[in-house]
Amino acid sequence: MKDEKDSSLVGRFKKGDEKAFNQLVLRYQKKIYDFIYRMIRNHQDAADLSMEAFVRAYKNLKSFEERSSFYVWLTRIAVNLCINFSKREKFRSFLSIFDLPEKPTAISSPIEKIEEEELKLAIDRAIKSLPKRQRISFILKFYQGLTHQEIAEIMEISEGAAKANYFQAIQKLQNLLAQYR
Amino acid sequence: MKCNEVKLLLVEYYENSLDLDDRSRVKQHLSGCESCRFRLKQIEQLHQLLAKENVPSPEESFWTNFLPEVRSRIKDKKKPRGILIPKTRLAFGLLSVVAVVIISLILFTTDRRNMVEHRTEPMVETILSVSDPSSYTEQLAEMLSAQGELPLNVFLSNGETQDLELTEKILEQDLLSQKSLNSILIELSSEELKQLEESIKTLVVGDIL
Repeated sequence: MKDEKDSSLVGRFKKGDEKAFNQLVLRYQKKIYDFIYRMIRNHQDAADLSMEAFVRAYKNLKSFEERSSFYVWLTRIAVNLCINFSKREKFRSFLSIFDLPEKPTAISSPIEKIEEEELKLAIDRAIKSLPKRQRISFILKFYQGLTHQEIAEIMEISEGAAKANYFQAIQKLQNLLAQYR
Repeated sequence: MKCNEVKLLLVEYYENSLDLDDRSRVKQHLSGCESCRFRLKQIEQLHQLLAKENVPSPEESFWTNFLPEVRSRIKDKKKPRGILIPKTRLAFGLLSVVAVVIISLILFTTDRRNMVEHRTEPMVETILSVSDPSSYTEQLAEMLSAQGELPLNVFLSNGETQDLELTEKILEQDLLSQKSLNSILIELSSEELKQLEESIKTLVVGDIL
């Protein structure tokens, strides 16, 4: 049995079918969570924000004009949530100067695990260090598999700008992760 | 095709997203350019490195509860948890309290200043404007003549605003000559002062003017 198209589910929801919205959540929950997690690199906040993305989608879905696909529209909501989150994070980082430093965890894992952790940390830092637009373009293209056109729609920029952001992100990551290749 | 042009297309070439023409041209260039082949290799290594990253996936129970949680939030219109840490709320609370205190102090200080200015202004005006005090008494005499003679205390309690203002001006003028009045009063004994006090109480306005 073929999956019902997004546009059909949206249409049913607009007519009052709440189960249609549930279908959309189940269809995109993992993709949206994955995108947000890669943006902010924290499970608890990613979980929170990904649920919030669907709550906002629910509130605004009746006025969604379907100029883009539902997934592109939903991803734009997720992008905006991540941008707002990162602004609050900067303020939170300022307050965290009053925190006590975390105690270092005991190293008891095998070497491979340590290397894996180190690599993950390095990729974390490298992606987080990308300017906002490059980070968004990179994650949407590299991990989510969206086209430059779709990315341009989400970010409300030209396709050329989306390509340039992605290309520059790749170059920066090459430099930052050179020692791990 | 030159290296500068190829460099910009290498990522798409690697990701197999170039159109056939561009792909063919890049391929032809790569066959004769070692530096561009090296750049392509770097792009490949980065892709492989990023693919090696083991991103922890949430447990199955997380996904099972995802939709019910979203529905619950929609129902309750809950705000996202964990975004604002208690410390941030505390900071905002403290800042709000400090702001209220500062604003209250500013308003209170301004208010007191205004009250003082308001209180002193008429007195200053009165003092400065006295050039011919006799004119005040003449004015008051004219006004009172129509009313007839009145005990002073009755006049003061029933007097019109204009009457009282004129009276105040006269008294102010008397205050300016306080020096001589004080020197006279000092000369009086306590019994004489009592007598003076009694006579003032029964004084009729017409007597003064």
